[in-house]
Amino acid sequence: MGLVFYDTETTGTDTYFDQILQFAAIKTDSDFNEIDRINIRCRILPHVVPAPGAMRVTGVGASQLIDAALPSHYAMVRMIRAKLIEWSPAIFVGYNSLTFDERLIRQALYKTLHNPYLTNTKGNSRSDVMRIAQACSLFEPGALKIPAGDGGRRVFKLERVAPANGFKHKNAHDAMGDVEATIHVCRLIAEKAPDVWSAFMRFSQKAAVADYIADETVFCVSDYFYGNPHSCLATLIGQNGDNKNEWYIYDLSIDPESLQPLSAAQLAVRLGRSPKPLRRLRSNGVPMLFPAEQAPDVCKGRECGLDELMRRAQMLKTDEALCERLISAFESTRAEYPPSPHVERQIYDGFFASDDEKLMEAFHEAEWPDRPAIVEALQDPRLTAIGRQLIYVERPDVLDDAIRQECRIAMSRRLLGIGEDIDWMTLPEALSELETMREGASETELVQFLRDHDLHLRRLLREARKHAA
Amino acid sequence: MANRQKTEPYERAREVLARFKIQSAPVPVDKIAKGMGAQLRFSPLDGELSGMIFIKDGVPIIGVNSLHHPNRQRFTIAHEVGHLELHRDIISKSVHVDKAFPVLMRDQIAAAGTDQIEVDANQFAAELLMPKFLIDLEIKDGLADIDSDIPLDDLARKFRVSKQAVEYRIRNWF
Repeated sequence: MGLVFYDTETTGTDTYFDQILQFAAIKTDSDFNEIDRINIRCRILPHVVPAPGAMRVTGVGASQLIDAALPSHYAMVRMIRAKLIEWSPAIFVGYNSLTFDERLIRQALYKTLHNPYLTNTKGNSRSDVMRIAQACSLFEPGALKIPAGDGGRRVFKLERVAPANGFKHKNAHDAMGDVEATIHVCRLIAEKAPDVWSAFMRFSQKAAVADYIADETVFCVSDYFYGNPHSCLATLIGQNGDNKNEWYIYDLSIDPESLQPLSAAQLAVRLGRSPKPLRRLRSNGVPMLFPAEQAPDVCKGRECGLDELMRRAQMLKTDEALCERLISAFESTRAEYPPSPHVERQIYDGFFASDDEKLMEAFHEAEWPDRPAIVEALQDPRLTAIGRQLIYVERPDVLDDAIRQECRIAMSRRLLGIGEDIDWMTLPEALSELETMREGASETELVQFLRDHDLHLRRLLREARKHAA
Repeated sequence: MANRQKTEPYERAREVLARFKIQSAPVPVDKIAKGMGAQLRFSPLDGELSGMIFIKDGVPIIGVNSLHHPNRQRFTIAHEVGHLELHRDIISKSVHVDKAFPVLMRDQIAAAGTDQIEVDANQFAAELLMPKFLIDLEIKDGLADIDSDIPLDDLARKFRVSKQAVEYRIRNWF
């Protein structure tokens, strides 16, 4: 048991369609003493287009993307998964990981026929150091130095926060370098802001969050939007019936009595207007929760006084009808999104059936020639699509001709950006971006670096055009 | 005399409940710990280790395993509060000021109830989280029936403890 600090370097910033190129992690005990580490890179998938901007930041050259000495994406994910399972149960911690690395890991597992929820099941839980640093700046100002950016806004990027707090970054944007920087920041937080660190360790578990907001009549909840902190004093009024991890909380700076006379339609309009009385709180989203008495100066509702806020909260607790009306009005305004035609975006469209889970396990145990039959036996169409693509990338020779041809066409069309709802990096887009970058480049090394990528993409373009018909 | 010693942890827990004016379940064990001057520290501890207590610069620090379920964490906190209330002299004699290091650990030995001070702390925790007067009310309401599983589940939910903790409380009925 302990903490697993991890980071990824990727082909771009799209957490659905980009892929991990490097994964690094260090397992420590609860005092940050290193126990074990892993640092692994892989080749690029043949249907993924590297974002030129990301390649420039990470310094990954075109030849490295296709280096035959590196493992394939599938082989790398198998190794990462085995290591993370060996280290479990643990709290998985990254920097800005909740909205980035965590999603990429889930996608990587999903796209290699594994259950995606490795870091938050079977006793594991997760946290995000960027959120802890943000909470520090609110609840324990002075514990960390947070640099200022344009317009005086606080900048929470790791490459700025870590050096500002004494970390000597040998290699920013290298996954292992960033893991070491993250541990450095955590050590400081645990030493200088132990209450904040403890709160985040506690609320890494969604059950602890649910327990806390049910117990505390009034609590302080905070968040950051575009570098600006937002805090309010809130009370719990209900749970989303369709999503047990989502809770509805009420901002007590708004007197609930003012909402009582409103009709359902008027309530729906009011809930959409700022300041918004109702908010969602995801118990699995590492929320910043603190006791009401510790609310920071910027917190909304403090001016009302705790007694008045308690009165408002108690009023809501006893007026179940109002709570139901509020929740109903809130849910009526929720946008419905049509299902995506792309398997990557279908990751959260339901859990896998247990029979499919068993077949997925059998897939990884089987010899390659036996794997196509296992894929065709899967009931979930998402898994069948993923399985075919996976075999096509790894061992196209074991697929039958029709499926192989289908996969080849699909991949080529994808590279070229042919089809509906194209929102990933395509070859024409990447080449255009490279062209712009090359125009502004003067250093010989950079010019060569961009030229290599350009050649790589043009090779892919020629191949894709041959097969996309 | 022996009987008085046996019931002392329960009585001391009742005194704490009265001091904090606890009238209903679930018992706010966090607030009781903080009200007694303790600081709670959650962190991912090793193995079956549930918690620890030590005094640092005069302040009692209660460590809780953040990987455990909140109900188990509540029992851990109540158990450590028991040490604070019942064995303060022992805790104070063994001060570690350099690191958050355990003086009294709640682990499998404590769970087995073989060490007397751990038995005391377990009894204290059981009464603190499941006070007799509140369990009595539930039994009167027909909620608790030791012969049936479902009411024990209901009791566990109401008191925010594990089912095993409810069973322990009812087996050790004072």
